[in-house]
Amino acid sequence: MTRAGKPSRKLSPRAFVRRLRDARGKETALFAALLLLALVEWRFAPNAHPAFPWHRIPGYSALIGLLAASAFTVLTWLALKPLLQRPEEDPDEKEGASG
Amino acid sequence: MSAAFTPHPAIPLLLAALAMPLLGANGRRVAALLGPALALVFLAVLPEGASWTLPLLGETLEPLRVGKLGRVFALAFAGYGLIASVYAWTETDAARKGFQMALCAGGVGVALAGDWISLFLFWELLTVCSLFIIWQGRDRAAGGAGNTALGAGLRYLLLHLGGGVCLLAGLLLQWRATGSLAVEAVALSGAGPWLLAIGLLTNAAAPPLHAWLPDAYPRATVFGSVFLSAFTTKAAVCVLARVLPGAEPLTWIGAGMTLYGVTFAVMENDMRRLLAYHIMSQVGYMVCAVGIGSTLALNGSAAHAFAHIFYKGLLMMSAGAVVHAVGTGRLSELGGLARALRPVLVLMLIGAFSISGVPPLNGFVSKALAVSAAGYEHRPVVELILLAASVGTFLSVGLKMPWLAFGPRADGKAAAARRPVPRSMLLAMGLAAAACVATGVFPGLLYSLLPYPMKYAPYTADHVVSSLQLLLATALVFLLLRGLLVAKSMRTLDVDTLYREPLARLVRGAGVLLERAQEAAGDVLEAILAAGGALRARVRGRALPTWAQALLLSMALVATAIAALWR
Repeated sequence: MTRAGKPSRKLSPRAFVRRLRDARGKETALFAALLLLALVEWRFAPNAHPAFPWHRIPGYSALIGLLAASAFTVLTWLALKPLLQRPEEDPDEKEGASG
Repeated sequence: MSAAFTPHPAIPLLLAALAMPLLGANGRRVAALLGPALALVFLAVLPEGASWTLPLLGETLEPLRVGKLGRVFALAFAGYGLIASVYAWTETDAARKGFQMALCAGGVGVALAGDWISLFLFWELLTVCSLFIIWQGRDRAAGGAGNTALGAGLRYLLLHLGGGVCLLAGLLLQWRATGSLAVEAVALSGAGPWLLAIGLLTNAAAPPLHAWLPDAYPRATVFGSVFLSAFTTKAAVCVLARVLPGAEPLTWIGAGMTLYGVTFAVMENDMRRLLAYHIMSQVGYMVCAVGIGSTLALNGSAAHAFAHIFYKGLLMMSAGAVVHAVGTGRLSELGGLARALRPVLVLMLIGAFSISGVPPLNGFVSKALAVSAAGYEHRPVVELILLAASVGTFLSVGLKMPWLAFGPRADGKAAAARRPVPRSMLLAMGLAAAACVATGVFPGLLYSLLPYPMKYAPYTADHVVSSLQLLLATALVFLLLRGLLVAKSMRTLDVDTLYREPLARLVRGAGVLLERAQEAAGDVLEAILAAGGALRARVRGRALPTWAQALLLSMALVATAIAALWR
């Protein structure tokens, strides 16, 4: 993926693994920060009022974040955009919603 | 407090609205600031329980009843109205300023109405003002959508008339069932409460009655969108919280709204449409909390509405500033604006981080109440849905929108900023950002306004750490997969696709019928006149009797009137 807004729209599992392997800088820093936060949660800041069993798992919020963000991105790209998006050929839409 | 000396906070707003045509440009500007400022003063001095009562046809109306819940919403409406008026300082059109002030009055009036008739009148004032503000979007130079605003306004009107009829029918049934017009909590069972719920949920933009929101709000002018974003949906939440607290279906409807809104926002290309979907999503948190119904949840609903009015306003103002400067809000046509619009970027990020629940901003301290309430009430699925929606919010508003609008473009160029952003716009955005930061850093400011007593500390180590995990994990996925979020110049179909074309056909069909009716009326008129001529010929040389002359004349007049009316 290029940094500047026009990355490849092809995302095969192999390409995704390659992207993970080639990840540098920000991605690595974020991943390290997540591990650190999970560690902090485990040692120093466990959930004080666990309402559900998973509240006791260190890093469960990170897991929810990873799963939900991936689901939103991939599902909208894979299923919803092809199903619901159309070229702006409707005259009513063509005039534009924002001027 | 004596009724005679109790000032209604909606009155200065209504007076400001009515005075607009009589004032010059500067007078209008001052009136638009004075109206909300006086409303804030009135709200500050009115004690809890202050009311107005008016006898009408054997019933007692209560256009003003100051309760804790209503006051939170009224304060937010008036405070935001003041900031939005600063934002719209450069606008001097009497009609626009008038409808903006009347919209604020409608919101404040709904929040403080103590009886259903007063509430319904203020409710319809909101609808009418919103409609005209949407129609004012015909002005492309002011950031509107041109003539498409007319169709969007009609669709808005259609849905809100339906919602208003449901609300009216529901309140009449409730009146018959209880014998009282007072706005009180009811159980969601029977036709009356369900009709009330449908009417209220239409204004809250609950699916499938939500399409008016992303359809209409982005088509208003830049200033119009900023005003529209605050009032209608939050007024609906206020009434839902007063009337249907703890109604179980609202929990699931609200949870569904949170997911539906963010899913469409992730796909959306137009900034203001994207933000409109986020209004729906954030209102979902409030509706869900009303459905959960515990004191913490109801406090969460009110707190989130208060916070939402300011951070969503800030976001809508930021998007408006981009539209004002560049001429478009389409993300596919933006990019590279960080240098040209740096203050707008900074202020937009404050709004975006607030809506995403980044500590120490107001979204963090308000959303926490609703999500925690789901946990405390042992609603695991609801809590997970709210957390997932929070992730989608950060993904689309916190990351995607600023990245695509301000980040570097693939071609290395930048969208051209043709006009500078006026200082009044930046000042208003600064004020809204200050409200987001102040109520986030000092949550006691917000919590002290809430209707029910509670002990809740948002800044605990575990809460901050888990929130940071959620946000950083989302940022990590964004960095890895952002290529899939690149916006294209596409329109996304929503449920309004189901009724837009049939509605357009209906309007076209009505036009054809009208045309034929006009032709028929013209034929009738000609036939009458011809008959008169023949009669005159038959009685040539003799005067027509007076009764015949009168009959012919009246027939011709009626036919002409009918034809004129049809035309």
